[in-house]
Amino acid sequence: MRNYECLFIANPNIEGDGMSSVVEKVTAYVKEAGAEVANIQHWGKRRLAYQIEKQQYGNYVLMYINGEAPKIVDLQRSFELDSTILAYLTIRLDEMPEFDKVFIPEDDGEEDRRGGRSRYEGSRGKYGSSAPTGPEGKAPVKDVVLEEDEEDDVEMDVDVDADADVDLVEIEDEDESVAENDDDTEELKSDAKIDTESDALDDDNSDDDSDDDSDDDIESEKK
Amino acid sequence: MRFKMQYKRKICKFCENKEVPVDYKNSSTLKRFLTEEGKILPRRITGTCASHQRQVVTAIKRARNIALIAYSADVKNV
Repeated sequence: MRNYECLFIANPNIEGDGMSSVVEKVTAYVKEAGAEVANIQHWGKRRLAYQIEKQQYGNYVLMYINGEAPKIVDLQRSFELDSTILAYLTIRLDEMPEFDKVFIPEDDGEEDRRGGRSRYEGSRGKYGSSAPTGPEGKAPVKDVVLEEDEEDDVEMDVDVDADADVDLVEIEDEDESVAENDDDTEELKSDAKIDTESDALDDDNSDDDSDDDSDDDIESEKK
Repeated sequence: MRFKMQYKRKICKFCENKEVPVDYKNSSTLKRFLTEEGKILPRRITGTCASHQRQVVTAIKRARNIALIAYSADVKNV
């Protein structure tokens, strides 16, 4: 006996009791195929990432099944023939998970469409940060503009210091903790250099580094 | 003042936080490894380690199959 995880999408127009009858039907398929249902979880109606059979939404149901491979093939065939099931995905598992702790994703489909770029707010540029960053992500643009003046003055000072080592991008030990935050943000060498300078500033000013970073981006574009 | 070379070393997100499973159902986490168009980001951008990148790729492809993640950005709605 092997463990399988099966996620299928039922037609969104089925509501209330209809879904339980669909689930009964599917469990019947599983038994017909000679396998056992170990656990069933309803995710409810969610927005699909793309249309399937002209439907924007779908009823997701997650099943855990014990059975042999040929039987799972039979099960997939009955899924294929059933018109109420839009899509299905069966995966072989090494071992059954703890059913209580199975991850159920939130339905973020709606927000993504309406908000457009909302989930990329923290990123800068096409390949910007891979992770949406927390507090700095929503920093209003105004602040950045306001602080620019101060930045310019201080940066001049630092440039004088940095002249000593023209080629090497160097930085103090303590900056590592600060630098970790903008790991993803700068890819270009020029950016990196400016970055280190501003990090050096952070020690003096003991500023929050998030705003500085966005400044750096703007300035590097100017150059 | 002490100086040293700074390496911008990226750390694999999944190695960093071992509680987060690489799972096709976890679509919000997987979306971090996609471009806005829905293409899979290369390792050199995300910093994911080799073994986790392989897992991420299969997870993304599964999630696409079951409509948790789009194959490509929907131009009309974006």
